[in-house]
Amino acid sequence: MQPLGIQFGNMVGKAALTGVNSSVGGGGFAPAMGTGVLLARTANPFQFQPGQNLFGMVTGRNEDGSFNLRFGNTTMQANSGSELNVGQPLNVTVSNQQQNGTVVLNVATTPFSSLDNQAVGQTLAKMNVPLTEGNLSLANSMLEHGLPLDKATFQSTQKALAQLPPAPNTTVANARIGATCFLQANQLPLTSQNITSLSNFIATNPQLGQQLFNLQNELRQLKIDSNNKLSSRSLEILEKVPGLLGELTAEPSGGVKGSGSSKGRGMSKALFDSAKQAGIETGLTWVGGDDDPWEMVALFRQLHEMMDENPTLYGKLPSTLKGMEENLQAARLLNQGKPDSSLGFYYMQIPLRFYKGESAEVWIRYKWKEGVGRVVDLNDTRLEFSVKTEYLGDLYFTADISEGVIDVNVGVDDEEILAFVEAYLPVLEDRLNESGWITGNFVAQLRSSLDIEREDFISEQDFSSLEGVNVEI
Amino acid sequence: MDELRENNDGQKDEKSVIPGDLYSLMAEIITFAQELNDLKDEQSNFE
Repeated sequence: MQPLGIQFGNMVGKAALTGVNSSVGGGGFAPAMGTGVLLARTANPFQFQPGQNLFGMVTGRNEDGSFNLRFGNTTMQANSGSELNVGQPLNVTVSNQQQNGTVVLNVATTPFSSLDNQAVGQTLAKMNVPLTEGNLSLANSMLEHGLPLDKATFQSTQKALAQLPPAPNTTVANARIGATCFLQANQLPLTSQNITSLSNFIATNPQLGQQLFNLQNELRQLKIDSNNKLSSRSLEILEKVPGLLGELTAEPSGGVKGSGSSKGRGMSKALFDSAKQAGIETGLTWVGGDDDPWEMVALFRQLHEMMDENPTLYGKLPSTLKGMEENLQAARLLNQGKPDSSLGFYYMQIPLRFYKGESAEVWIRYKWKEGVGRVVDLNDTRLEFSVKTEYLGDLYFTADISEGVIDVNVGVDDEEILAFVEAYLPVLEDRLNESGWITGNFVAQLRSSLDIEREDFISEQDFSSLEGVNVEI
Repeated sequence: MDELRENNDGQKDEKSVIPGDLYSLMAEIITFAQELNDLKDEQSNFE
């Protein structure tokens, strides 16, 4: 293997990585790499001093199983005995030099907890940047988001953030830094409006934000890996990704009546978008909102068709996109079906906080009226929820609404969780009261005794008696 | 689309198939479930 020029932060050296032993976790905001050891062979292993902290990223996968790693503007190749994910930030500490020309690098457990403030401080000092708490925080966040820590990038990020009023707390400050890094990395305008709307979005939609960051990192890297050999069509599709983000960050501009919590208000718009994508709110726009019909399925399809041209370049991304597309298509087919009876349910899948493994499914009852179609009557309907949580298992909610009065039942899987949910159920009742609902019975019970209406519908008909239909589109 | 809009004439959210209040209700219930989960996590850590 030829020695390759590599740059670690402000340090430049020549090295060839000959062996990698590491365990890895997820990418993006999730823990990037487990504890492991990299064995790097270099012409001059003694240029790296034990204790030095180095930052970089896994940027691609080659057909021979090796990986490209990028540090600054330079890429090098590495072989790994275990799986690495494209887009993972790398944070390593030089352990020692060996006689055979290799350098032992210890990989940090996560790109977040293990960032060494002293090493970041040394880099800032070399850039003649004052070592204030704010500057250190900004530098750390830049590294976490995969941005190079150089003076020009640092100053432009700092200048963009200075447009905004002081952040009320660290959560908002971190979300703003993340938004600024994202916009900058994707060459989007660093306006105060863009930073504010994107940071609000990140703060309230961590799962989607994470996916978008991962997606952006993957797609951005494609341009580098392919040496700008992507077709004009591919480039055109890539250009749509910022547009995708723009849709997701759009603020709700009306149509939602009374919501108890600010978090709930933000989520209402996301739910409306989910309903659009699931084929419920077909072709409709948010009242008073944008008129641009956002077609997520079409975008996913275009992206993975593009990736089929050279699947080895894209890792797990095509299958992820295809899975999401199939889910959306399935939901649309369900929502387009005409029920046998006069009652039916709209169906929605809602991704929640990805890193907590959360998701939700919602069924909304409608009446089928001849000559009219499906009608969801606010005074006579039922909603059923299945919410997957990390510590409480699956929670099943039913909400029956009749003449403005709402009854809520919560089904859980065991007695301990039942007692826990029962204790806090009055909080939900209070919130719905504040939102203008007249509340009736609020009950928690074991799932086995919960009446799931949609299951009654399904069990009414023997599966083998159902007529098969071709649902290909 | 026009048909769907006509269906909802007289409701608070004229253009939406699902009344806006139900989106708010969905958001409240899902948020509540998430907060319960976080609370359980905090309690487990405390214990």
